[in-house]
Amino acid sequence: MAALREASRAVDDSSPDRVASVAYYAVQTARLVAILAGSFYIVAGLDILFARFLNWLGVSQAEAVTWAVMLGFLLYVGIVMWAFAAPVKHRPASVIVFLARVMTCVGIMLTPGVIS
Amino acid sequence: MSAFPKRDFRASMTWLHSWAGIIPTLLFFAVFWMGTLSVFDKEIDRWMQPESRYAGPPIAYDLDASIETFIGAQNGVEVTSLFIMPPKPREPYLYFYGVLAEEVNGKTYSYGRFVGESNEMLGEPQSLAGSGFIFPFHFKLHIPGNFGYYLIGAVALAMLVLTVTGVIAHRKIIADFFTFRPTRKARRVTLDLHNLMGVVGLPFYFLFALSGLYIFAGWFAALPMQTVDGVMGKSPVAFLELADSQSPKRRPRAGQSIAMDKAIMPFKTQAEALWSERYGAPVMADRVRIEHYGDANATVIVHRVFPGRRVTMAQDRIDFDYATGTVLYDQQATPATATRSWLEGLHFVQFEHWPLRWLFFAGGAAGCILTATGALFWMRSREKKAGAQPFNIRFVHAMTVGSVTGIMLATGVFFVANRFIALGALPPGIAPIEWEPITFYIAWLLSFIHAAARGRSAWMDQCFFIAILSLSAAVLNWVTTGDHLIKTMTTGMWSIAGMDLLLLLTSALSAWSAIHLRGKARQRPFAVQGDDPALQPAE
Amino acid sequence: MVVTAVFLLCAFSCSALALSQDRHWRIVAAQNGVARKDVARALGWTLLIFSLVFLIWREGPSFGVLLWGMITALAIFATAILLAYRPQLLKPIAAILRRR
Repeated sequence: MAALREASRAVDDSSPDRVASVAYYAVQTARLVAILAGSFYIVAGLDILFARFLNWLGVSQAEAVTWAVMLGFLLYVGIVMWAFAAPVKHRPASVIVFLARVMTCVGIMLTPGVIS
Repeated sequence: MSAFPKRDFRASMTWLHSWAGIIPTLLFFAVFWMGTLSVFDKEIDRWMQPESRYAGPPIAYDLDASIETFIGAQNGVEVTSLFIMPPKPREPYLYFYGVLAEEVNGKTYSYGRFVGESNEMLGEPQSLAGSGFIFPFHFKLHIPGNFGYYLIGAVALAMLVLTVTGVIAHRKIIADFFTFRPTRKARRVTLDLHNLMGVVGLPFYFLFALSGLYIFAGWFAALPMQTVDGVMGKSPVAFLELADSQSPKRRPRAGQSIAMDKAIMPFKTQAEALWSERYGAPVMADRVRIEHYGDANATVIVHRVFPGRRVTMAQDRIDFDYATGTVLYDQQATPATATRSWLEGLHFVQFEHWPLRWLFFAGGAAGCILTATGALFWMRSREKKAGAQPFNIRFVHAMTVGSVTGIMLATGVFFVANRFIALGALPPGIAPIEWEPITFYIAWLLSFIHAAARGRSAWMDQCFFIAILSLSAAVLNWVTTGDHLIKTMTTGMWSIAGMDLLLLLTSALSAWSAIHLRGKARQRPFAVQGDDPALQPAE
Repeated sequence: MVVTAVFLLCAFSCSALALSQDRHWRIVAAQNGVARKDVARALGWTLLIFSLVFLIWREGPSFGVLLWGMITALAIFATAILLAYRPQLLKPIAAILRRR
């Protein structure tokens, strides 16, 4: 447990420790994966909302979904960069995972609007 | 955002760049390497499937006679649907894929190929070759199920992030724009090469990562939906279905048999005439499908997917009712799908433009160098600080050697193993189609073990192996098929000649690298390089 | 053929752009005067844009843009390699760009 705490403290230091422990590597990997995957979930949720919005504007359903997915990937890069640029005390990884849950749930609930 | 000092932003982007880069290095190189080879997938097919080699003028073929031959060859087993590809310059044969109503020899499908003007049907190819192994490897790693797609999707997302953060992390990228200093210290040269390859191919990497994602966009976007579905108990929504919802649903079977005595060729000609008029230029169909063959609801679907000398993939599709000949459905591209098709077309590289194909091949090779030098720089920075090699540096070292030279070596083994099929010299109990992948994976695994055991000399050894393997592949091609370089170059079999020439070039380059590395190792065996305070982790 | 010609043109423009940077000018033509940086930059960019326009006209917008991107990339790479191993080959271009 102490080793894990030590390792997570190393995360706070944004310059990579060159001779770090294996635990440090594991925590870095976990952090990276959490942010990469969480951001993707946010984007997926936003995709649905955006598609629904375009559809509401009168764009056909297939077109709306295609545009939304295409723009979503570009947005993704921005979200990931934000997550890494934000100060550590905000714990962006956990914020992102939380947001991802919200976005996908909201997205799913509103999806029938896209389909019908 | 503006509350954070600029230096911190760059530091965090450097952090992101090095971690998002180093963790999936193995996959990055594999995707770049196999993707680069896939640019010439059809040429690799010709090389690895000697029975499909054909040098000659464009082929005149008889579609309906071939259909008859194909149906007749199924020994009375009913064919429920047919997929036909007419010959193309890079695929000089008429290709058949039939779905069978019942299982024959454990398979519910059947292949047929008519090479050249021959009326003799060739069966299933004995080699997976370029389009059966190398091409799928670069987007799903041959992992059973969907996991491979998702893994590569994550890699592509990471690559998008890396291209953007790379520009921020390597801050002197503009000042160093044309800079490559081969006489500096090894670590500096590695970084120079990494920066140069990054700058040179930046738009290429970004476009290919993005377009690769678009090709499977439906899958990736559907993943979160399916996961949430498990939690919320709602039906999953596949984006792909939504995006493709303009396509008609499959017609059901009528259940009534009819005689398939009407020719198929006129449907293809009619579709081509319709498109030629619509686009004001001659258009060739490249796919013909017959759904519900022998049923009253038989449907002939004519596609144009790869439109020859154009980047944008075509969306053209016309469905005909076989019995009456009426048009059931006529598909045209919409603006969003046209944008997506342009990106897809540029990624598939099936257009008829040889200079651009070669340039994309070079771009892929640059990506391989980019990935390898990135990992090398990361390792060299840490080796220097660490002095004696701790476990994790050794581990990353073995992973890097195995994922860079290891996969090249395994590909060499894959090509050489293929020539053993032609010789008929396979170990007992292994089917020809399984033989090449088995040798590939064993060789790849061995390369990791070898790298872990040999330490820094592993680079030299593996370069040497690659040189031997690619030379023997080219020689074995001559021995087993008789198609030597002079013959292939004079008869215009450029797919075979090009493959052999690239093998010889690879052999020469890796032999040179091996000799060069050997000289370096003699100069300073395992020396820890001098500390250079001017060198920051990433510049 | 077209691709080779455009590549040579792009390589020339990239060399001109490289020579507008002090570091590369010093390697190629240090003892022979000072570079006209503005001319080098203007020449480099003009020829690059010209080659883009030419390719779009010749090969169509899709192939034109893609070819241009890839050819320019190759030209940048070639320039960097020339500067590293055979900088004297760029002397004729430096002669054009020297301040008289």
